Amino acid sequence: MTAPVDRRSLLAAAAALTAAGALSPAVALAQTASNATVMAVALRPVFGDKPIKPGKVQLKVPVVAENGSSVQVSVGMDGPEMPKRMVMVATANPQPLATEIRFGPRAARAEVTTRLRLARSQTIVAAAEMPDGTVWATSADVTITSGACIELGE
Amino acid sequence: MKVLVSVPAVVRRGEAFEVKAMAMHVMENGFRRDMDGKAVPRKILNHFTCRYNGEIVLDCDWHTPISANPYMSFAVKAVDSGTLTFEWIDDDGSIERHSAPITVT
Amino acid sequence: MTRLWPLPIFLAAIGAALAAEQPPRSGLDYATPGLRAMQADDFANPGMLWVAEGEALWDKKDGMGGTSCQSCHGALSSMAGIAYPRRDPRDPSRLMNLETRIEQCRVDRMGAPPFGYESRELLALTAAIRNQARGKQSSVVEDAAAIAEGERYYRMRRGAFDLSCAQCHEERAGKHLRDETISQGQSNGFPAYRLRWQGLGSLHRRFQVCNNAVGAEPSPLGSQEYIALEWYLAWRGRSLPVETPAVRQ
Repeated sequence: MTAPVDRRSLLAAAAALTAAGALSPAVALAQTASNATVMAVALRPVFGDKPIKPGKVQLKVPVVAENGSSVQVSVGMDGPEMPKRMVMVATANPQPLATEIRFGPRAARAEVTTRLRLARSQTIVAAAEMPDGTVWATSADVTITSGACIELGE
Repeated sequence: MKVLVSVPAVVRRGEAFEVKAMAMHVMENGFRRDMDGKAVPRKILNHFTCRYNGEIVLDCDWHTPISANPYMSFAVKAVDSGTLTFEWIDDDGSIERHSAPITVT
Repeated sequence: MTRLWPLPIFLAAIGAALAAEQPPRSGLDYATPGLRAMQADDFANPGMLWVAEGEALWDKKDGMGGTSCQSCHGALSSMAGIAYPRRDPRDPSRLMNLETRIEQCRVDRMGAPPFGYESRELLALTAAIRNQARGKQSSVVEDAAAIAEGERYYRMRRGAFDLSCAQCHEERAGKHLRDETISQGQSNGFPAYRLRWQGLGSLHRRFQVCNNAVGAEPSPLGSQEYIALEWYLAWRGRSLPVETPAVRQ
């Protein structure tokens, strides 16, 4: 019989590998590529075939959320530039587009905090369309954990 | 519909101030089924607008991923004393309006 | 039915109870920073929408006499010191909590229809009244018999899992169950806004969730056994400040 491998020792091994940098370059590259794809797919319904450039947009989501029904998300821009519009997309929701925000002359900054209802763990994408027509985007992953007790009818 | 809005009473001209707005709404996304297995029809607030003395601060379309009792906070530039107005539009066509005074010194 | 326990068993039971005794800790202590921030800010705490509605209901005239809560009780802030549950003065065998008291007031004094337990209006009014005592310890009526009855419920094993309230919320408080920390099950934040409910809910609704979770038949909202349990919990957590409307998972 082989020795049982428990989850803890696997996690510890994974952490050690990551810390040693053994996996990081390859993982980071793969992640960038897949994030670009995720962003392109998520934003096509809004921006069509316009190229999506990574950057300029700030997106703050919790790494882990205790409940998917209300996850606080903030978007903003790197600089003072005002985009024509910003969108947020919950890529794994049945209808992914969450909100489209158009800022008017009285907005001090292109900055909004709101709360999303997320169907499960997923990638959130935020994008900004600038006055020159370029589209910038960024993404972040959020893990939804489940509660301790099964609740009937919630 | 009950709404709660936070606007500072007094701000200095040119400053940015934070506004928070929350509305009591189930934001029924149309994907749930009731105890009898029947689909629960969608009913959400699909639009939110904030104006400052009539000028747009922001104007948002909301879709099904926006949470129940939707919340938004954002930054407004202080220009003149006057009124901030808020407007939520429901799928059923009803419109909820709220206003808050602001003094700019 | 009461029966006398042999002395050694009785002493052992007392010893176990003392060993398990922990200082009361609010559910807020177990909440994530995000939830704590949400609760702390009145304009980010969605429960305050219900409080605001309750404040308006307090002044709203209703019923045959065209009176409001305010007509008899004055300002809502005068409710800060009230103590519930208590016994019905007309029938001391009957226990009343704030919710059932409001319903009685509507029917008997205002000639208005009851709102219904767990209705938006009753939750709103209950939350607005409890909110008046926010930050203060709530007064508890020291009724030994009622508190003992509630404690009996609390310590009785029930349901398919054969678990008592005490086995999770006293003996295992602070330990982990999947990704959650088991709280002491304190009642100081109710009615509370739960993310799972995506709305405000009563303490009795929370009891039903717990009953269901251990595979026990839940009691009706507002039932005598739930009010007795509510009374015991209020007494057990009497040193904690009221947090209504608390925000929880």
